[in-house]
Amino acid sequence: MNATTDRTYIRCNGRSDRYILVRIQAPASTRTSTRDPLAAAFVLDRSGSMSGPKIAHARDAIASAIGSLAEADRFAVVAFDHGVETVMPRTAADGPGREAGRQAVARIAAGGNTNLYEGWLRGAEQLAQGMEPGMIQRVLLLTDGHANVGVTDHDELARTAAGLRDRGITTWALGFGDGYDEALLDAIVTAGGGQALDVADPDRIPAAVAGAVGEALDVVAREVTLTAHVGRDLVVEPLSRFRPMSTGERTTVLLGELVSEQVLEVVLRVNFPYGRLGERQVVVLELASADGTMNARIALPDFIYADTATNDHQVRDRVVDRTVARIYAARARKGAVGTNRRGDYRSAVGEIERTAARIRQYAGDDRELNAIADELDAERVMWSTPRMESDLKRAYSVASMVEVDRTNDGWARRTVDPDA
Amino acid sequence: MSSYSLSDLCSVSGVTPRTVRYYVSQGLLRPPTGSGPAARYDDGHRDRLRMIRRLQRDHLPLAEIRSRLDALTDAEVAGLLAEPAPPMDSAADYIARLLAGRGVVPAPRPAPPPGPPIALQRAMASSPERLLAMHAGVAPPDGVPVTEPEPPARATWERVTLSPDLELHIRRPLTREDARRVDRLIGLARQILRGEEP
Repeated sequence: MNATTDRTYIRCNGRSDRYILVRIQAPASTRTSTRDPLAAAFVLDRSGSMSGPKIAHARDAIASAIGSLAEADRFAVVAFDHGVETVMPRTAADGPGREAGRQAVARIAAGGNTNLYEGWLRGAEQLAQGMEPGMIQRVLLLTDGHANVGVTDHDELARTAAGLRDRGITTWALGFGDGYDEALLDAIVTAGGGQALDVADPDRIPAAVAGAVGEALDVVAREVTLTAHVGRDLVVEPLSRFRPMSTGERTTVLLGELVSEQVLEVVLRVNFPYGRLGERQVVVLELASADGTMNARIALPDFIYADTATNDHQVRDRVVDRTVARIYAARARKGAVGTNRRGDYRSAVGEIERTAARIRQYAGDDRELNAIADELDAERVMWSTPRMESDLKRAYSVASMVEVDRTNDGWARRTVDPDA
Repeated sequence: MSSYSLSDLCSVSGVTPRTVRYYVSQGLLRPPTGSGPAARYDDGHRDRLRMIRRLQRDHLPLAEIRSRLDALTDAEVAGLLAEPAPPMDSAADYIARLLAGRGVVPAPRPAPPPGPPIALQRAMASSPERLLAMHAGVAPPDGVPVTEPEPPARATWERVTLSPDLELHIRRPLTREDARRVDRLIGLARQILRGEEP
């Protein structure tokens, strides 16, 4: 782990925000080491809208993912429409188990409403009932629709996801086509410690499911946390999209699982209170994981209270500035997706313009920062006109991945590309 | 004792001004001293906001949170915040509770293994509160009462067939009073299903 900050001087006579860019590198999995076994619950939406190629590809994808598991792994399959069916209860992924799973999955047909909540909980329940230490417990929610039966409130679904994650069960979601609710899936996976993958084309479903299971099989560090220890009245929040837990002088950001050779950049925002000239503030960062793989502690250079002139003329770390700007640009785009869809083009463009202007305020002559602002400005026309639903979904998904430092398609970034 | 403007309070507590005003209107927070831009808040407001967040994580409704906070002084709230939160229930119990809240019967559980349930050990090992406690060098104390009463350790599920298409799942043991109510429910349900007026 290493960390840099955008600026080290802080204002005496007001609250200041400073950003810390933390770079984390996960170790490579070695051939000799055995991976942690996986318990995967595939929760498949079989509502009426899934009929046709979507359900067919999803069935194939799950059957093939089950085929990629090993004897020590476990899996379960739950299908939901207005009701919920446990197609395959939690089963060992040995030869007979995998065969039984494939046969059961082949029988799933589409029709009905979308009781996402209960389907998801039933999948989690299959994992919860046989939880074993050292096993990765993951629900993969495959859906193309809005939750329209059962609990449908975003906040409540997010709280449930957080509750499951706190108890060792993470939730990933795959959104198919252009009818799913991306903000809902985003809320669930952010709280649930997973990722939401946008799968516009049904042909891409098998690759997306295989990728999501593949990452689970390549985890090298689990329940990774980044903790910032700070002085009284400082507030630390992740700018990156990870769930924080705060207890006064300690903020812990839950980073979830890291895969082999993953590189992850996390941005923290620190809000400093007023202070006396020359006084110093110390921020200590600590990286840890439940399995002990990740373990590091660093103290950042002290933050120093300075007079206005010193504060205003200090040198900025442009690498941190750029990462921060990209995340704010991503947030603006996610906001614009919602307002554009509602037909509120003025707000959509306004959000994009304000963010571009704010980036220019500190961009100076930095070419990359100006390019980030230019790119936003160039999108003004696009956000001021109706956009295709699939374009909005893609824009949202790409922006969402910027916030967690993943590739546009949602995969972990690695020092060595496994496909290369 | 620190004094906060509304925006400072929001930034130290991670809530929006709208939320603060809402909590004041709902009696979860006492009103600030002064009004409008001159309104000032103190550490008591800050701690109560943090406590509300913690209680919301336990899925408590606002009315319940209000009555709990009403019973506490600012010093007591600060003291509770300094302690690690009580250990969590297991994933299986948590899900059963959520499903039961929807009127849905949880799947029958496998018999618990001897010794502390693995699910509980696992849930505790992975809880963020536990992780936080590990960083602070203290483990959460054992035996801290949890908000939800634990189901009896040797609970078993009984399946009662009400009609060929309908089953009732009951977790035993029940109190004598509840057992009587359930018996009455079964009697009534069978009558209704036979097409008779109860």
